[in-house]
Amino acid sequence: MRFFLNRIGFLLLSVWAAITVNFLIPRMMPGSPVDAILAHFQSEGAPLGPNALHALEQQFGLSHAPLWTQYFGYVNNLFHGQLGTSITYYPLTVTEVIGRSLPWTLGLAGTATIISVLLGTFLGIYAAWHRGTRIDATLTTVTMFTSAIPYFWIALILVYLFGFELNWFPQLHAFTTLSNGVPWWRFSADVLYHAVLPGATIVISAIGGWLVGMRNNMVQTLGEDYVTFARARGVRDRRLMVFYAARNAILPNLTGFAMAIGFVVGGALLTEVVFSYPGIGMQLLTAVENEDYPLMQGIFLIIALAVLLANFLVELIYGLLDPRVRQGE
Amino acid sequence: MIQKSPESPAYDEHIGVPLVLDHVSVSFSTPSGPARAVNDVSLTLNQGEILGLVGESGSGKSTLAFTIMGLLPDGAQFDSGSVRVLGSDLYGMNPETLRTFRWKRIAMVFQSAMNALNPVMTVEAHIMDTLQSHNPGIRPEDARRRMNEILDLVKIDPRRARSFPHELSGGMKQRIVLAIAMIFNPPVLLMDEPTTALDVVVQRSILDQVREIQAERQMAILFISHDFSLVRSLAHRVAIMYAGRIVEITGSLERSGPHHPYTEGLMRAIPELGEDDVKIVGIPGNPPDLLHLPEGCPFHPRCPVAFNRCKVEAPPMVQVNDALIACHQYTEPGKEGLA
Repeated sequence: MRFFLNRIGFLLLSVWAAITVNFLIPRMMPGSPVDAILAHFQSEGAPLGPNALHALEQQFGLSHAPLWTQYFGYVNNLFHGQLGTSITYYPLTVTEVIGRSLPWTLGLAGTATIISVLLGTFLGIYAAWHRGTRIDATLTTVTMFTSAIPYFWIALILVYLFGFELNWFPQLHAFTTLSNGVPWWRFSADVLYHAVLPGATIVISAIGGWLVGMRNNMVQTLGEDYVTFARARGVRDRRLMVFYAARNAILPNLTGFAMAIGFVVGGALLTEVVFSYPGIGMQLLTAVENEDYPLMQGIFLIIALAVLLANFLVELIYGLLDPRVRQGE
Repeated sequence: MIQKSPESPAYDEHIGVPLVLDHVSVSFSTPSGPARAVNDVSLTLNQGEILGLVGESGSGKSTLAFTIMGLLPDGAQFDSGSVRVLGSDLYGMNPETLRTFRWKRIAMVFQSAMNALNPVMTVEAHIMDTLQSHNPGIRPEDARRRMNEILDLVKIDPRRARSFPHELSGGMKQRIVLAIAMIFNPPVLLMDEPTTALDVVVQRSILDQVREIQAERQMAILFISHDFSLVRSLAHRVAIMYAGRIVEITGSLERSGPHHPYTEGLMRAIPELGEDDVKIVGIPGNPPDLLHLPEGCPFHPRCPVAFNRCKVEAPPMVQVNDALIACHQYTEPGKEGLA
């Protein structure tokens, strides 16, 4: 219980720090979104008057109040779920834009990450158990090769091969623009169909790291005295593999899981761009291109919160899995 | 104490000698060729006996212990010979038979009790795991009763069973490892440096317990250590290992008796309690590289009494009074002079 409270306290503290940094950084940058819009109009040859400028500032919630007043206003807005208005998607709010993109990213990158973690871990256990055999050598070499390839390049190759040449899978988008009234299961099938190539891209590029990491950890634990002692005591191979070797080998990987799960929210940016997938990564690119500060700020905040939350959850799991951590606190 | 030949059927099958090693050789494959860690070792461990096995680090003691358990590490190879526990050839068994045979007939206390327990499992889980691995249908209350018995045997409070290894002291862990080794009352027990990592007080109390349990159950114990004086106080007989070979098996470790020059060197390196003039003399040189063992007797480069023959011919074991000694001093009465 003390461990739990401790972790909660740490989570709240880091969330506060993330919010504050997120508030400060855009305000320390030169220029403002209004300047950006202004410049835009100016280049079009229709300069805006001071009134219009003030209206815009009002619209986007910019103020010249002291920093700390702005800060409390910002925090207060956050608690009400208000992240401001998007410039690109005006008049949609940032919350709405993120709300529309997040499910796509979570569905695609989340599922793909879980698949690569699970598959990589299982194959790593298998390779470590059969260490030194041809299966081990093949698995390790092949996945090291695939994880060394830049993943946008894998994405391009997949699009070219399976989307363009063979035409097995769609090249773009998350779903076909279907007429209304399509039954939900046909829509789901369509979404899955579109997710195959971008999902495969993430799995192919991520699986190697998990496999090699797990394999190396487990080769190490297999050499531990407690494994030999258990074998001497007559513990069966299957049990030895899972509860002695793999159980201990997985612990150092948990931190990696936390990071990966947190970064899922950030979106597999390049994958989403290659496949024009309407996720957070795509929105982040749009926001950067359009100098859409409120949207950028919102997305960064969501990413920061996701990483922190994932870390918090994994630390709780760590506490469950490793008795030494529970007591160490 | 003269050993009967292990080949003698009466001895082997009816009485069931706890442990007979017959010309056992084990080597590790290394990039620069095989390194022979155990070289033609023959040993017999008798009923109710504590046999000490002494040697310096790297002499092959632990490899020999793991060979006897059938737990050779990766890269090690059983080259020749046989290991018989109560008459059964360990290296003639299929893996499943070996799995069930081990721990019921022959158990081992590991050198590093600190790391012998799985850090994520409680003591109870370790004990239950062991019981269930050999007896899948065991009733929980029977298992628990057995657990309490063996914890009692090593004087550990049964409430400690809920603890994780990191919550226990080194001495407690060592006792628990000993308890787990005793769980099926094995007639043969190997102890590989069981107290090396512990302070002398804890070491003493654990050894007292070992002695007590041994006397009560008449187990046969092979006690491996580099601590010469410890073994001398505990064992009935002592085997001395050097560079993978047994160079001497003796019943008496008195300085006066005839010994292998290496044994004499080991004894000179230990101060006697109550001696007025404490003089510690080390053995010059270093233990040999197993990849480049010297020709002939492996000890000859360090031996103060070596002569020509020692450089070319490995000495056989010969009976000298109470002891078996592999040294040319005793195979050839007339020395050829110092080389």
